[in-house]
Amino acid sequence: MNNKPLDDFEDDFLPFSPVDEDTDNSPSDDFKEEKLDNSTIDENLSIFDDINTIESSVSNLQTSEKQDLNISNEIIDNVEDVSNKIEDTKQEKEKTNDTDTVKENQNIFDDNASIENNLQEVQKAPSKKKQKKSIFNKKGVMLQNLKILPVLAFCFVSVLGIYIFINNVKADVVNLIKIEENSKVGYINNEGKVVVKPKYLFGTDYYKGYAVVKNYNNLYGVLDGKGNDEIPFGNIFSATLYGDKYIVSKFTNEGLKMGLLDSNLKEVTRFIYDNLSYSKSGVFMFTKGETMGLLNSKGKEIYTYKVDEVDDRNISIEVSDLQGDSTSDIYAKIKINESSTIINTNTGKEVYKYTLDDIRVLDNNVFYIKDDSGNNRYFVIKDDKVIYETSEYKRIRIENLDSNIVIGIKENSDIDYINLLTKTKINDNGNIKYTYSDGVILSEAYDFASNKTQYTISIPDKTLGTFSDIDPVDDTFVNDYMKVNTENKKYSFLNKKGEFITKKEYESASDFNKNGFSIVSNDGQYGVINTKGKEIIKLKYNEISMIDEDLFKTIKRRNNQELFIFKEDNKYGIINSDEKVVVKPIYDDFEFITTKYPIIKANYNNETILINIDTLKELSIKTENDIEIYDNYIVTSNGYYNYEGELIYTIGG
Amino acid sequence: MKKGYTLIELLAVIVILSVIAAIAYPKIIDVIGSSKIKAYNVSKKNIVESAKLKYLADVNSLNVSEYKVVDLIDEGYIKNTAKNPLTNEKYTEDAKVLITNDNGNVSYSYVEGETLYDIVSKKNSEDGVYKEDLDYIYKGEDAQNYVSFNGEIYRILRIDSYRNAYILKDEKNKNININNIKSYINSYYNDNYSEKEKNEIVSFDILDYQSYLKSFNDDDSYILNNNDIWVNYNSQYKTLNCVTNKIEENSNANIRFVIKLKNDIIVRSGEGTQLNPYILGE
Repeated sequence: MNNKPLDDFEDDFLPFSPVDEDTDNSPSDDFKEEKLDNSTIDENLSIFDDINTIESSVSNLQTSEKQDLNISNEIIDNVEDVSNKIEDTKQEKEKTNDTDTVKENQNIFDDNASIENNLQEVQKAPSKKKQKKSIFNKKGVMLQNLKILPVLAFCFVSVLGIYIFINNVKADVVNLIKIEENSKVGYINNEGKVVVKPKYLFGTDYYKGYAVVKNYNNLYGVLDGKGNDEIPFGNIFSATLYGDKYIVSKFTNEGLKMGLLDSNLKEVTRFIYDNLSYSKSGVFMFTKGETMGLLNSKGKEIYTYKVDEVDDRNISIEVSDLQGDSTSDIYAKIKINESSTIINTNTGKEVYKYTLDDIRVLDNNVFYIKDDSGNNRYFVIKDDKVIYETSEYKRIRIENLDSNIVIGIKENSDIDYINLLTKTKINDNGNIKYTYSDGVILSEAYDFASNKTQYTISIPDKTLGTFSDIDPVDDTFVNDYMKVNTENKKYSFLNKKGEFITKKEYESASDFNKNGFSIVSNDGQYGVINTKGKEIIKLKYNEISMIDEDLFKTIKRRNNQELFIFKEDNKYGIINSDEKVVVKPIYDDFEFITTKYPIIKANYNNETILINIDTLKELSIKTENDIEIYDNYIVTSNGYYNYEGELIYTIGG
Repeated sequence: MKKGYTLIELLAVIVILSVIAAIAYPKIIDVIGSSKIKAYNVSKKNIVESAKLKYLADVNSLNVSEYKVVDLIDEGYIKNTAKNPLTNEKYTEDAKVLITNDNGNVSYSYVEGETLYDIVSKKNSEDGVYKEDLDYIYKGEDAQNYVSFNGEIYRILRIDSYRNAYILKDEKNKNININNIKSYINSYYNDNYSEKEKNEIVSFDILDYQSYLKSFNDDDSYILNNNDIWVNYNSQYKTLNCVTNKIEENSNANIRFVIKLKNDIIVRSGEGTQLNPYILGE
């Protein structure tokens, strides 16, 4: 029986075990010194190819430094033995031409294939397709070069490293769409394919590629864009998103602790806090043992306070809001037990002495302390200093910190304007009328010499411009421009230098909006002008109205279109700033239901339809009132649709 | 002929079996978990059905009735061997069915945990909570009425007789023009709340003048307006002067949003302080 000795051989074989002992016992020993005949081998089984590959790899890397490795030597021996067996087979075949012998040879080769497989594991040889070249005739030279194994190992590790790196770099953030069936939460992709079967007790919507879910064991986990566990269940106790950070609690060696993760689930803080809670403007409050304090938006402890007794802890924070585009730091009142102070929310620096008085917080870094005797004591903080303090007013107000103007309201409703740079009153001349608007003061004085009313536009440290012979409509600038009456009882606009932005005048004109457009009309025909006075939509429509200011920006950002609504023959359509009609005037009305996404509602013969104003297409979605627009999908009571209006998923499967 | 298996063969079998096990394990766990949730949902339905039976048998004119699961078990509406399929333990005291009767329109919901009503109704004026008619109202400067919802901080204004909580967003939205208020409210609601939160919201509007006035105690309120704000004044949008507290008709002001929440939302944790606000939902 030919198989028997081979079975024994297999039993003894283990990866990198001294296989050569077994093969040494084979009859091929007698032929060790003989040279192999190429042509005969080529006729033999393809298993040789693997050996060839190894050797070819070796030859390609001959130049590497010489190192003696036992593994290499064993492999070399194995290869030699295989070769010898082949030679043995060849000779026997010549003698007998017996098919049984051939079978035996095949078995031998099979055994040696195992050896080769091991070798491949070490070297990660290339695919078999490229392994057809026989180089057995160079065997002696080749075998010596197996010493380059470390180089191969290095290459392998490098490739593995690159593979892992590529897999870790997320090219795209994938946000799946949450679905709910039978009170179980699952997720589908944008094509409507179910990626995560509905199986969770609870799940959030995706945010920047991740969703927090809770499984049947009440354990929280976080799923990635492929629906895999990014944070396995049970690793965290809870996770809640605040702003763009997750407050996460988990069990550590010190018990249940909290920490912050960013939107990529990277640790912003360590898990060391007993409690963490969000305030606003990115500020978090924490307690840690007997220490309590604040974390800024980067997770840095900006303020700490040690309390004497663990039970005696009460911390609160009230952050001031900045309005306008001011870049000033934001300040907040922090109250610990009974005493309060004011700190910089970026650095944590205390900018006011501790006081038992109750500090109250207003917008734009204005604070005040209540005074029972009458007026409150107000103060303004800028650049870590109290830059202005007053008890003269019932209330003070700053509309934009960068304007350096404080508005003081007296008990009798009289108003003072204070220059924050000089701390002096701007309205110090009783013969001049002062009006604050949009960061500037317009002063109006009658000049008896010229018999004219002289207007001056100024900010605290300089005069921006002057004008006369022009009659402002209501003395206020809106979004940088002021509407004025012209001699012909029409309207025009001045900029903050007191100059006309256009020579034209209009029978009606709206204030400029935030995006810098005004709707104007003459002879009952409406158009749109920009801040340079250019009529970007000619005055030829029955009516023009603006798209919601924020939606306008969204559309402009998405496809660089500036869209306006126009009316023709009592129907509404949409026109762009190139005066091209992009949505025909066939609708009774438009309704804005989102400012983030390019979908609007339109009413057409008592039917409500949706229009994608990115693609400017009507969507064939039967809508009721409960329609919700999300990033790339639309939810109605029937199901989930994409922005093309195609149904991608029906509720209930 | 072979007399037995070689080591290699045995190893191969073990490897194959372990690979199969590794692949199958999560699936099996999923199936078990999914069936647990299924059983949980079925038992929730059954509990609600039992509560319906009891409700129909009772004479009850309250806006909201509450039947505890443990009581339904005691009274024989539910088998006394019933266990919570999720925990495989007996139902706790806080598992209950809320039955809301809104002018004859009856709705049932299963609740497992404390709702805001459960917490606030136990508080008193020391905590800043005042009972007026059937409402529980927070008043005064130091009201400990902080709630975390939708990843933001809100303040509880009041809990009404239907146990719906009204919560006020702690941050204001700035400088909204009279012409845009309605579409601003609509868009804000659509763009800033996820499906999950929308399912928990009954209605979404701006602060109403009455609630604002009622938040005062000794001339102090936790609602501090730095600038004029829009208020809902007899179903019309008017501006509230921040200094005089009087209603005016201006064209621009800030907005404070108010959410009316469903009455079956549970409080996961928290104590209402700023440091440890009530956290709503699961």
